[in-house]
Amino acid sequence: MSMIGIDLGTTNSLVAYWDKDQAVIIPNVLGEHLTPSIVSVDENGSILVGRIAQERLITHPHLTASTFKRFMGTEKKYTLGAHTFTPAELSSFILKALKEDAEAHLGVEVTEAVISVPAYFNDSQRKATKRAAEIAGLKVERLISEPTAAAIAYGLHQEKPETKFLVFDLGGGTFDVSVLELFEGIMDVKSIAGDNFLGGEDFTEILIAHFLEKHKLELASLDTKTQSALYKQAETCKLALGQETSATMSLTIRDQAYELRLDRTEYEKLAHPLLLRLRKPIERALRDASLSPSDLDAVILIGGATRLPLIKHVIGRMFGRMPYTNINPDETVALGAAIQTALKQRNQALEEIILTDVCPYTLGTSVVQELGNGQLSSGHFFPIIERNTPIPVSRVERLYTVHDNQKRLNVAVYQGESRLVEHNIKLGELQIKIPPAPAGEQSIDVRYTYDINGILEVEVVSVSTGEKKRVVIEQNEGSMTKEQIEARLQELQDIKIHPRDRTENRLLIAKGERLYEEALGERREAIAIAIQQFEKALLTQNDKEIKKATEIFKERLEQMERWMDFS
Amino acid sequence: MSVWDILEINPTGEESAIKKAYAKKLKQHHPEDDPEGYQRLREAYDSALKQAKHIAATPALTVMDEEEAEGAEGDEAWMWQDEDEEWEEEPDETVLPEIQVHPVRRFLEQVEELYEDFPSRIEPDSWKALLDSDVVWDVEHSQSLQDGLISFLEDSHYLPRSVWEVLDQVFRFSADKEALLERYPEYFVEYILRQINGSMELRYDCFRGSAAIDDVDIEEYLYLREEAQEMLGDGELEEAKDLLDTAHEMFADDPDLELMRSKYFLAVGETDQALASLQRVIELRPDDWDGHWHRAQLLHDLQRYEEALADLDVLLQQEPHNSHVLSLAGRCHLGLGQIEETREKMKLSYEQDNTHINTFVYWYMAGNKHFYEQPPLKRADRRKARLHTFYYWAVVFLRMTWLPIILYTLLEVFFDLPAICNRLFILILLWNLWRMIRSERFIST
Repeated sequence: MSMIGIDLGTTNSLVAYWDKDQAVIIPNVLGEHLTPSIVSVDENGSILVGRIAQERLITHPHLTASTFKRFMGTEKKYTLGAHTFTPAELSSFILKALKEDAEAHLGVEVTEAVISVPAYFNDSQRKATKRAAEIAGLKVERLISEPTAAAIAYGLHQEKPETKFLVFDLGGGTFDVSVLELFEGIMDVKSIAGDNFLGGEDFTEILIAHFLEKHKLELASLDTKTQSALYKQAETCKLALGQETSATMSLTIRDQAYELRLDRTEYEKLAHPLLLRLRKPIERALRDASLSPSDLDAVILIGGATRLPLIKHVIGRMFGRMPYTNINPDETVALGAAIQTALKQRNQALEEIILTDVCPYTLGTSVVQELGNGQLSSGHFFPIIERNTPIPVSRVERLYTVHDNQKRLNVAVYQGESRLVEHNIKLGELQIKIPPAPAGEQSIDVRYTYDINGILEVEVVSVSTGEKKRVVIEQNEGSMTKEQIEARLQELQDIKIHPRDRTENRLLIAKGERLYEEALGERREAIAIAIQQFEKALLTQNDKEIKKATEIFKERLEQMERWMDFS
Repeated sequence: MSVWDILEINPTGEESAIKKAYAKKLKQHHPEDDPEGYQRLREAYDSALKQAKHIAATPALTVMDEEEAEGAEGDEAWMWQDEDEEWEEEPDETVLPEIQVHPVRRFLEQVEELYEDFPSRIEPDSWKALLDSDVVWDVEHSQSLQDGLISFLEDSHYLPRSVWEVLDQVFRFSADKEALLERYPEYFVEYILRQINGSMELRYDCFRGSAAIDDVDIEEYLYLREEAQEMLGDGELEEAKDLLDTAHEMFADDPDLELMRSKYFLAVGETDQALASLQRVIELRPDDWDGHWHRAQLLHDLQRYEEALADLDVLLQQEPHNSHVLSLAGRCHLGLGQIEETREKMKLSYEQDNTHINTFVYWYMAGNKHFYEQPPLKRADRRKARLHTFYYWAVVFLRMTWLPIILYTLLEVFFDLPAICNRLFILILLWNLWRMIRSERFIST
């Protein structure tokens, strides 16, 4: 039985495993390391994942979902054709595809995984990730923070016995900063900070906004197909600006061509407000770790967005030195997750590294406070586990009644840093009965236990009666009964998933369709004919013929794409 | 059990010894397998590291408890300043190479320079340029730089909102109020956030390119202006008047000051003066929202509806869907007896905001029959209407008197009543008739 490490990213996902003495990325059916985190539903209602879905983002935007990781743990629903999915369910399709890739590569069944999540993911987001894995038929052995995973991969090759470093993780949709220390075979996370709503996608969106503003267009007035095309243009432009000093975005809307040329300095100006947002989490992480930048031995960059020269430049300015770039920002997290699987199984080839992590948020409850004049004021936040406390951890606080003959006490569970609970996130609530007595005489013990996966359990005990109540905080599933969850699981099992062995052919058709949409006139006709011929060949079910047709079709599409670039 | 017992070492000031001991014990209390043991060990380790600093520091500093030790650490960020000041005291400055001036200090000097150059200081772009310097980006200095900047701003805070917004973008004041409150006095934190959200904004565009400000002590003027705003807000009219007068003498082309003057005049009931001030506001800044709005309200109250409507038209060109403006325009039309226009304006306002109470009140008022000319009725209709009115009042009358009537009839049938009863009965009927007429009058008003 094998265990795999999975990096479930906002834009791309990867899977890796521990092969005797090193971590190795498992390629997908197309032979690529990165599988785009995109899900699409085709005409027959079956699910397509990865590169094919990415092609369909342009041709069938209403049947395709991307960047859903940003909404993990929320109530958001995606309607794709006849199906409606939660972000966790969409993620489960990605996980299932990765699982199949791993099984094909390893030749054994895979049922367990270490999955990475952004360090700054909160309780409900972690729960949603766990649930996604369960739907995909994977048992989550550990949820590991992305920066921690990267740190393990980095630390494995460090010769210095003692090193302090900062991991700067700017992924597609989230931004995390972690400060770590490696000593005596211990990987100690000292602090975590971040911004759950800042990522590489934002650097694309500013280009979209700029394009629309320049041409006095409104996003809402464009149909979904044009929107997707614009998104792709912006993405390409963003990447091009990383290589060259200027780039162009062009788009055809209702037979009218729009174009925008942009140089690097202009782009930097546009991105300036986003770059400024990178600072606060860094400052906070360092402050919480009581370190200053000069104490750090290295700054490590992970996440695809850190490839942008813009970001690298700004990091140089913030730390007064260039970041460590000897690692692959896309693959490191997955490799770290794979190393973690080996650590978990206490693999012989690995010198033991013990990992100690912290909780990213302050967790507490709501209490009533007495003001100076004897009046009571409610809604104050009472921290029980402070942020950046090493985990696993368990803390107890005793709370007292405030009214005479109070019959019950309400314990609301909050997460956040504000002094007033209204500004924090409510995770759940539980009630306990207590015998009536004068105010302040009855009390309860509230115990918060935060486990190594970052999942919280709350236990409340009435001191006088010994009555106990306990919850694992589950906010989202709360409204669904066990039967409903089962039924939904069954429904999802019944949805057809496009067979893995036909992925390549399906991808070629999807690509052809995309080129068809992007092309005009004669070229369009030519593509249509090529697709038809290829589909005809597929119908013959003659392997030799299909192989030949595939080669021809592939070449033709490549030609077409090259032409398009010149036009 | 002391932390040292848990770690199984003797108290030491050496960090590496503690780390080694912790690492050794951690293998026994692995966080995966023994959460409780790990928590105990971890707490011991953290506390041992803290104590180690203390122990290591003790020989040098004889008396220093833990808190003081932490305090000294916190002051470290400020150390550079003390050092710099020492330098300045040295007589021969030419010996000092320039690069040795601490970058944060140099930055603060630049801030001061910019602040003193009034025309540049009110331009957000000049702040943007200054705040993009390397030292601002450098995380190493971020805390001391922010501290220095805020303590500078505490004494010199007359800046336009656009500049506060630039500062907010860089230092993200509004995103983390809690962190600010931890370090700086509450009144100033509130002041900063108020400047950023613009709830008490005083504008600076009137100074831009104005030749008149060269002869004015601008800092004094800005001080007077802000004080006056505060006094007006607190209702201290006497103090406000003095401040406003002094400021007005210094510089008369500031629409915001003129607006405050009009508010003062309104508060003391000098309508003509208020109107003149508002007139001046609009001359100075023709599209000024507050100027037109306050003047429209005042003119409406003075029943000068046509003029009020002219002001409101200017506002509606800026914001065609503002409920307050639409509603006031409707009321002006109502004052002029233009019912159709009133209803049209009120309807528009209602579509924007269906909880706007003035809109409701005056909209329904416009429905009052007194505002309509009634067409003459046909004779048959009139007769029918009269008949209905008669039935209506008959029913009302019966509703009030049925009990005495039945009682009287019953008594009359079975008993031979004395004459006084008849009179009493008629009296009751008449009294009720009177009550009915009175109520009819009440209803019709």
